[in-house]
Amino acid sequence: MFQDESSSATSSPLQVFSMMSLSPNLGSPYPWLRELKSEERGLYLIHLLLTCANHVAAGSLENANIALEQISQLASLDGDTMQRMAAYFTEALADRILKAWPGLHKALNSTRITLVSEEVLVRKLFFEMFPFLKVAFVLTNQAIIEAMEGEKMVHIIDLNAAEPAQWIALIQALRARPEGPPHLRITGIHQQKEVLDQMAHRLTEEAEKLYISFQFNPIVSKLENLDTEKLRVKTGEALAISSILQLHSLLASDDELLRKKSPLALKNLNGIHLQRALQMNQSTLGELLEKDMVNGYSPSPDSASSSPLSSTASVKVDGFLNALWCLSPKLMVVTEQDSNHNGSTLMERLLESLYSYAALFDCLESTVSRASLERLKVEKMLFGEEIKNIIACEGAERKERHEKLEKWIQRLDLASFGNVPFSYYGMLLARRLLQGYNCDGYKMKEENGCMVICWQDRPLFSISAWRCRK
Amino acid sequence: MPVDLDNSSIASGEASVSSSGNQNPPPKSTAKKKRNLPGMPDPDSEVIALSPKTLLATNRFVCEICNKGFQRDQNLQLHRRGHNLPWKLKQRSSKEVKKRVYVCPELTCVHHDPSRALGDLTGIKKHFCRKHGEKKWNCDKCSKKYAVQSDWKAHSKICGTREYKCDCGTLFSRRDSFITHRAFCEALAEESARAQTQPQPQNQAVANPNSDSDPKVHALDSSPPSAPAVAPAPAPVQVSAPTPAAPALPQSTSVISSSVLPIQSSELPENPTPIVEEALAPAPAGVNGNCSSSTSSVSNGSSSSSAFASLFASPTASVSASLQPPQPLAFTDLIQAMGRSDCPADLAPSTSTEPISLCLSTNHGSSIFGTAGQERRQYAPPPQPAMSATALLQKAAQMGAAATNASLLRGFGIVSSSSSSAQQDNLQWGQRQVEPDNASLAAGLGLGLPCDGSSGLRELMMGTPVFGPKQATLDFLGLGMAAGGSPNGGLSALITSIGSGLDVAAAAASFGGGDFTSKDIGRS
Repeated sequence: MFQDESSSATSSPLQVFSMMSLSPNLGSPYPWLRELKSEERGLYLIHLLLTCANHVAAGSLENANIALEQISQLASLDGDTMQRMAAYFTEALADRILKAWPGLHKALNSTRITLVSEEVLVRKLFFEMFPFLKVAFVLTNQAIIEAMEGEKMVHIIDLNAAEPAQWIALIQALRARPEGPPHLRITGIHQQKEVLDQMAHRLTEEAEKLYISFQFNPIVSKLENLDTEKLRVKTGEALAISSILQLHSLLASDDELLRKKSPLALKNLNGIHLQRALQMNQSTLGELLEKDMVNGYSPSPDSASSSPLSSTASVKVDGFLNALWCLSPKLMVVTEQDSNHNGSTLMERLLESLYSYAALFDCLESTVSRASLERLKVEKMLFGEEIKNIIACEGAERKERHEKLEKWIQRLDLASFGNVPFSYYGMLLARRLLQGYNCDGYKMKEENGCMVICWQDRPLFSISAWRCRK
Repeated sequence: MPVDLDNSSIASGEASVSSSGNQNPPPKSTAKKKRNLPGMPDPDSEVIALSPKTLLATNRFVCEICNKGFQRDQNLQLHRRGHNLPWKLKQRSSKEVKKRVYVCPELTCVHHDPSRALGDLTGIKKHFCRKHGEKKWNCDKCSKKYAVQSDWKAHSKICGTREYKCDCGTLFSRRDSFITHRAFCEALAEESARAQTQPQPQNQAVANPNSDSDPKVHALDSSPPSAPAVAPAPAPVQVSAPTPAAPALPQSTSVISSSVLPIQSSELPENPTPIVEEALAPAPAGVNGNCSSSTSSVSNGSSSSSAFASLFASPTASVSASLQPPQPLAFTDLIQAMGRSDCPADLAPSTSTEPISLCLSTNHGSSIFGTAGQERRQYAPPPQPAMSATALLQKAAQMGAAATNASLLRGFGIVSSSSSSAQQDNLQWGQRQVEPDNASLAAGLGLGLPCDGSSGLRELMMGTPVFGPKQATLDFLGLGMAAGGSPNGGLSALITSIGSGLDVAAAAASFGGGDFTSKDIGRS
């Protein structure tokens, strides 16, 4: 039956689809799908993803299921970028659906094993395969060196001490200072003790080789539970803080709780309230929104939907930034993703993350072969997990709350930090590094004194340097 | 006290007292020189002249952080540990402290002359006390008096513990002094003459250990420290003392270009050992400092960039070979080699070129990455230049935002399937685009909504979320999206069009159920 349909020139594939959906018992389904060219398949996948997300957001499980089924026919872990992305996005959507049955969800995830070695490997792969971390390291280190000119005692706090290469490079660069190396102390924070041990070993080895007085203090702690007393910052030493992709997880908070508490739940887009809202006309809606910009955030487009929430949810991160400010660092370098994955609704986040991860997957497509197992690992264990977190999780569980650079600038400014533009030399080093990657897609631009690394035109990561403003 | 007479130029007294201590040609160029002997200071060192009061001050060691004074260096170190200073090495790098030599404040003393300055502060203090001070400490067993307390203590330990007694009645606690005495003792000579034994060989036998004892002391003292000292390539230095430790010694000595090791024979022998250790340890660091300063003389930036080159070049064992270009290993080795402290002064020129080449090859470093990138791209590119995901999204957005023409119902899939049936391999995305089908694609994607009431399709689209009064949603959407970037706007318009034509109420039916929230009713 569907053969007739498919050969008809006037029916759309969606129609065909729906036909087939009525009879799910059909054997090998949708053979015509395989005849799609990659571009069409890609476009179709996008369409299906959006459709599926709509269904998920609306709660219509049946339709979501159908869409998922269809996508699974096209998606593939080792196909082209869109196929791979579709695989991870549908997994995230499915995970989201499954969370409606917490028991089921827990049961399915109860036997997962996460090997520390695999995590370490994936981090290493991310460092090697992309220039982002390296550029961040170069800019951070150069900024530190410049800020610490003339300082005899330098203390560096690494909010995520996982990659020794950054500090090895800094140690080597400090040794070459005209005034000689300072007394260097690095405090590394991480959740896994083994990682810190490894770092301690590598760094002390390097420092001993170069005859630099060096001390590594490991701190096993989650960032949100960090007690700044433990950092033991001494008076008389110059402090620098390096935060690479860490601050956004502090934006995670129990949104549900906040929504219920806040009187004007409208801005939180509760379903019930939405109905009410939809009954108002547009101007009232806009007025309401503007009235709610309590924190003085300008109602920029991105912030319209997420800033009311983020203004209340940012208590944790503001507290953390305040604590850091109280340590009087001479310099703080912040590297963050430059995308808005913190929208309050699923669709918002889905759309944004489609673009961002498309760019990241394209990076891999342009530089690594499709058969590479490493690429697969990065895509699955790094990006796949991030996507799953963005799409499927809510509230305190959703840690990957990436936000745009301007929001971070606002936040840091509010926490009394002043922007320190990067030196010409630092930017030169970073650009040189990027060029050395020999891939045209990577671009770097300056924005408000911060550096942004883009793939083609899509900004992906931002790096900015800050000082304590009294 | 054997003195190397080759270096007597230092004692010519032409040196002037200046803070920088510029003096006559240095003795260190002589191959035979082991170390600076007492009273023969290194000409590059800084000459310090302290007043007797300062010299005898008790708290010589001052903490640089809080300015608290201590009598002993060890106490100062202990105190400094409380500041949680971040170092593990015993000694500082010598770049901080230029080598200092001290002159005796007593005018009549031979050590008042800078050319005969002593290298150790404790040494000069003790010397001043011993020679020019009042002897306040008296031994309770014998009648000996001492000006320095440590001398007195040391004596009273061995006072009465004599082991050697010469026939003439003199008692000795030390074997060497006993032997020395016996060589010249008259009583002994008489006895030996009476006994008709051979005094000559005895003297010779005695004489040799005598002459060897001191160098042996030096060698023994310095060999332990020199062994652990990082060993650079052995310098072509010959040693006069025939001890096995000799080869090690000149090595470290040649490295120590700026250390002064006075061995005051008249003083107690404990001094030399710590001095040697002190002097040896900072030397490599000092030389290292030289190396690095020569490096940094190229330019501060390029040396740091060379350091960063190591950052980029650091390989990981776990990354597979396909991603691992071979060059970074060499780079890391280079940098490690440069980082190693073993660049003796005479090898400095060559090592300084190393870093220069390292710096210049920063591009190399980046190009390492470049080759890596190239290598990565050298894998066989996919047979079809597939459209990137970013481009696909943009295209989808364009189509979604494009005017949707309800009348165009030709699905894209069908059209292409008919054309693709012509070519069996469907994954071949040829260069040609589906231009003729663009509009239909738009329609197909944008709409896909037949007006013909196919029940299945409606069912598919039924659950699509409400966008309510399209106006409000779209504007809200616009607020949320449009300024965020046009692509988004396009995609969201796409979503809107998907859900167009549906009832508000129908979709507003809340699903209920925990996290899976209907609160997220497709408000995009």
